[in-house]
Amino acid sequence: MSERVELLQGTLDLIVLRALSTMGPQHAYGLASRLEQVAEHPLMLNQGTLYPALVRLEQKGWIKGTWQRTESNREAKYYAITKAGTRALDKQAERWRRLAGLVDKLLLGDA
Amino acid sequence: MNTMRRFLLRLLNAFRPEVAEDDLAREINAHLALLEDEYRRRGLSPEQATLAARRAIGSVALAKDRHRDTRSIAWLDDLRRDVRLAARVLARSPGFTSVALLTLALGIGATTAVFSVVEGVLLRPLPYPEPDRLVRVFGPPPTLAGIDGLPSRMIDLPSQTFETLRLADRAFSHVTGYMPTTMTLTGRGDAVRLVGSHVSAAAFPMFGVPPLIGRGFEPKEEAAGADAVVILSEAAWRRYFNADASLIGQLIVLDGRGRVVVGVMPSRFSQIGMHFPDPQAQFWVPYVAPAPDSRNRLNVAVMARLARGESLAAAEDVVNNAVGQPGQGRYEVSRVHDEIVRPVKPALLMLSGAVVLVLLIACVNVANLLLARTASRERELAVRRAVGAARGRLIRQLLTESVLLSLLGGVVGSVVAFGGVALLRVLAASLNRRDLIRGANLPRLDQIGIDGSVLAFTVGVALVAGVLFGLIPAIQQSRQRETDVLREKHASHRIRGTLVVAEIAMAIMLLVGGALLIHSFLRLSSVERGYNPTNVLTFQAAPSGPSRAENMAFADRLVERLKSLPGVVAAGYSNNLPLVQQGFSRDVSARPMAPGERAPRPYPSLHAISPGFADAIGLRIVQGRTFSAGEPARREALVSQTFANSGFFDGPALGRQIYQGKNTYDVVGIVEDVRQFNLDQPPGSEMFIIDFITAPPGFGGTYFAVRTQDSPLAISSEVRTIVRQLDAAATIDNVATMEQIVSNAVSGPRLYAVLLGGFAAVAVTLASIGIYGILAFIVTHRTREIGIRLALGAPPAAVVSLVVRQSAVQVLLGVLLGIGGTALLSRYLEGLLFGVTPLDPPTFVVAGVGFTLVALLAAYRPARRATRVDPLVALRTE
Repeated sequence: MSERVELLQGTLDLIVLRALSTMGPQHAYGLASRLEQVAEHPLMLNQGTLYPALVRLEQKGWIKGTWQRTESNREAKYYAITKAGTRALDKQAERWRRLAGLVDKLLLGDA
Repeated sequence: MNTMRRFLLRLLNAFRPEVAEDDLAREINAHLALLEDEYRRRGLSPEQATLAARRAIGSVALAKDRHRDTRSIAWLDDLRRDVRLAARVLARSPGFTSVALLTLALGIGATTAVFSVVEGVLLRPLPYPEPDRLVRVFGPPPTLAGIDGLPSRMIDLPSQTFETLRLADRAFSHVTGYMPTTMTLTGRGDAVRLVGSHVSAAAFPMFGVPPLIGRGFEPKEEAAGADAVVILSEAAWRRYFNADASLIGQLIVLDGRGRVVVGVMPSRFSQIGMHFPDPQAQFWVPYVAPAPDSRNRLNVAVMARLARGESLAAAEDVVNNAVGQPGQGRYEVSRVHDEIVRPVKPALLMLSGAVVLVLLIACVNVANLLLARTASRERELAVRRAVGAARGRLIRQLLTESVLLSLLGGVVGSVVAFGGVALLRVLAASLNRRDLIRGANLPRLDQIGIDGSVLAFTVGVALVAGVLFGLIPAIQQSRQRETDVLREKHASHRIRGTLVVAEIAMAIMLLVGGALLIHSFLRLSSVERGYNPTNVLTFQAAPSGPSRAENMAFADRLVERLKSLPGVVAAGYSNNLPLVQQGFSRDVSARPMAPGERAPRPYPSLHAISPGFADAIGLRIVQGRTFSAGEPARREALVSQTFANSGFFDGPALGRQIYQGKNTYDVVGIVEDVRQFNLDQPPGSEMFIIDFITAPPGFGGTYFAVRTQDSPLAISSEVRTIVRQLDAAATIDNVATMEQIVSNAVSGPRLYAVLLGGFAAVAVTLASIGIYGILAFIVTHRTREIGIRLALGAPPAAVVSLVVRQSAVQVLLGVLLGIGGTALLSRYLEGLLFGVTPLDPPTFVVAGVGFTLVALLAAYRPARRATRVDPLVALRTE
């Protein structure tokens, strides 16, 4: 049985933004596969989580979706990060690093 | 910024879910296709690949649901879906929906119509700056009672008192006196009589309405000689002067005197139906105080604007200190708005109460309908509960249905309200004459209408009504789970029974109230008036010359010409007409007065008539005879019964003498009492002599009455022609049949009787629908039992009585409660009733019995249906 990693609130947004920023435009399936590859554990990431995150980011104006054709000539909605998204990613990443550092320090201090 | 952007997008998605829904479906399909491709690449067969892809993607429904929660605003989206579902549910049962809608539309429409009147008349402030500071000043009741000794506060104050008040500027920022008048405009086509007022210069700044063109009066124009100026109303300026802006500075001729037009006031200036500035007014001329040594005494109405920060009570003290005299009553200062609404406030409050009852009945009725429907929707609701609908969710759904229903009812109700207001305007319309009491007396009637605030009120009422009648079935339904079904049925019947009793009680209250008002109106219409108003044309006419001799000669010649018209039975003139609000009196006495001695008051009201007038108006001699022919008639008098029995004569009146100055009159006949001022007041002392009294300036001339064989209005154009032939510059106005004048006098009671009667009719109809509904429901639910009874040989009569018994108790209880409630409340109607006491037993009995009959009629159909139940069919149902 695989260990489940619960995603912290807000981290999914960060992950999606980061993936789009490094890999360029992706469709939801591509994103899902990519996240599975990257993760050491299978993430509890299905459409029930991914799609709401995508719509939320799109409504915030951080990513933008357009319908395009895949190499296999399927139609799919490709999401690309926007300028506002890039800015948000930097800010979120910075925040996350600080938070992670703080948590690390606390955990180490306890040990 | 992106929070805002996100909110707007979510809002958009809540109302336009299809776009996002389609997009998501497309995306999930694409996702599936890509997954399938992947699995096939890994070597699965197409079928296996499809299956595996579906497994991998998980619950699509859940994904869609979460997507929806994120992309839109959940409760709003739910609401939208609830409304859609509710609309479908309502559309599925058009019978129920239309009955419920109609019921609500009647309730909400009537409420809206009445509220529009209350809003326009009682609530809306006068359209002037700081209208609360506008006041009237009234004098104390005169120590010597006026005509017939009816003491009342003095409406007009002596001009000297007014002059003193003007100096009391501690209390007031402006003090204005005014006197209504009429003047004849000549030199512009036919001579026309215009109505207007003498008014102080302070009036125009006091109201704070700037002139349309020109200016108001200046204080120096209040002096005799400097007052040859006039201000026109916008309506008169348009009608008689073609809205000519160059009229300012020009001379027009009023009553033979040239006056310079200095201004035109916009129509919004004239909004107070109390002589000043009333919508009828066509012109204003300066008020000129009589010289202090003049014998000419004037009475003026006083209006003022309270100084800023001054209270009503403080101003009243200032007034009493300035002009009050010991031993006299107090002067009264009262808000203009209060004065305007005073005559109609009780009636409007009564109508408001009545219409709230109608609305409550409508709500109860719809609640009952909904209860019956919820019962028949048990299966649907049970299924929804079974698949996991929460209790709150079901209540919300049921409430959505009822609120949607009531909002639709509000929409239809607004249409009803528009019709109601139009009807009201017709009913409340009155003869637009200053010499008559203002018909139905609804001030500012022309401003009553359905506007924004009224519509907001309608929406509010609809929402409250929807929750009110929706909550009972909703709560009832939601309790379903906790109680067992049998007890539940019982409770449902009990609730419905209570509702029907309440409905009947309220309907009875309206029915009795309506019946009392109708009864009172009929009494008032059939009151003995002392004259015969059928086929009588009346009008006022005056020649161009102002002297008594000219007026009298003109009147005599006019009567001769009128008599010669075909179809004319009698014609005459008088200084007064029945129901005209003018009192004339002279100091008459039953014995000759010594020189310098004053005849004791009260004096009878005096009618100076021409010989033909008694026949024209149809006075009825009850004792003695009418005037003799020719010259001897000038020393004769007719007196009314009340005058004859008033103690004036100290014994029988017939054959006695009445002394007035150097004149003596023999009482030759006693006439039936003439209701001079109002139909609802006791008749006063009236006295008729053959004489000619010139109408005072501003009173519009002599009154004429012409009795015809048939329709009196048919001769009105001939009458006009004759008047013009006699004197091209003569005026003729106030042409109306005596019946119109009588009708005008009862238009208030008629309006209230029609309205409350209408409400009562609606209430009774709704209550019978309620009774019918509950019985029909019971019969349907007990079909099986009735079938068994019939199969076992129960006679149809027993079945009928079984069903009717169900409602008999409710009807009886409702009627009793209603009558009890009415007995408690009907005293508020007292002021509106004439010749009927608020506890009039026949009215109560008729209403109670009448309603019971209607209720039985409503019960009859379901009972009949019960007897037709086929036992076989009945046993097969369920």
